[in-house]
Amino acid sequence: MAGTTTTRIYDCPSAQPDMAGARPFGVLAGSVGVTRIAFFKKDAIQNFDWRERFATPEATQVFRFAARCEKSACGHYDDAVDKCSLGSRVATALPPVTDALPPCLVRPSCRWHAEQGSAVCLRCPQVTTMIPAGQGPLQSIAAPTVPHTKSLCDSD
Amino acid sequence: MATKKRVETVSLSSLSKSIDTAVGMATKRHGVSLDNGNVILNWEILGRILREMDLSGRDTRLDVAATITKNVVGIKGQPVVTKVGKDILVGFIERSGRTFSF
Repeated sequence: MAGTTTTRIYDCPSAQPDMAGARPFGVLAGSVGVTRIAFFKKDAIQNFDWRERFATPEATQVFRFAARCEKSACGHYDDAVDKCSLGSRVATALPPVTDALPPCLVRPSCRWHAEQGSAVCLRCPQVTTMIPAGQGPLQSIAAPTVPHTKSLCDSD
Repeated sequence: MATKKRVETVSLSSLSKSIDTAVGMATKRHGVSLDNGNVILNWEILGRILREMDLSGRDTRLDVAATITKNVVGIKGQPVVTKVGKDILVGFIERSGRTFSF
């Protein structure tokens, strides 16, 4: 199942609230030091008008958002292999934090799951889109590694 | 035997509380300042918010009733809160002068 993802439209599971098709699928839980995502059940999101108060970029400090994958417009998308490099790093560089697949509403359309399979789902609950300064392991895998992200220092 | 690591889930009934917790965590982690209590205008959730309020907090419940009145488009109403047995009824009396026959 994991691998063939070029033609379908997928969702990014670490998106911003202003992206196309954005909707929260979990809320930050755990503790200040060890953050985990608490996943929304269907009834929670169906009855929650999140745009009323949480449509700002800062909302990623409270929720995890999914939205339409922006593919090449995103610094994490690797055009060479048509895959999300962030999903790959999450699947390979982070330890699993759950024994069973989380009840995730995004999975049917999730790019990370389509490309990495269940391995990424076991690691996903520790991912926060807005990473606080000093959270080492998360920060080190979050930086885009795809070559088309040009640094400001590279300008002529 | 090792303990199974399960993730938390959030249902409609626990949504408001979970958001408050997350906002509290964000405040600690990022130093952001947000209002206390999240605003969820879905009527289904108001019951839980009201149940958790201090029963003597009549003014607070009137605020909720006023919020409902303000957000029901096209209706002018007087916010009303009353208690019948264990139930707290929050709503409004329409001011349109319409009469109802029973």
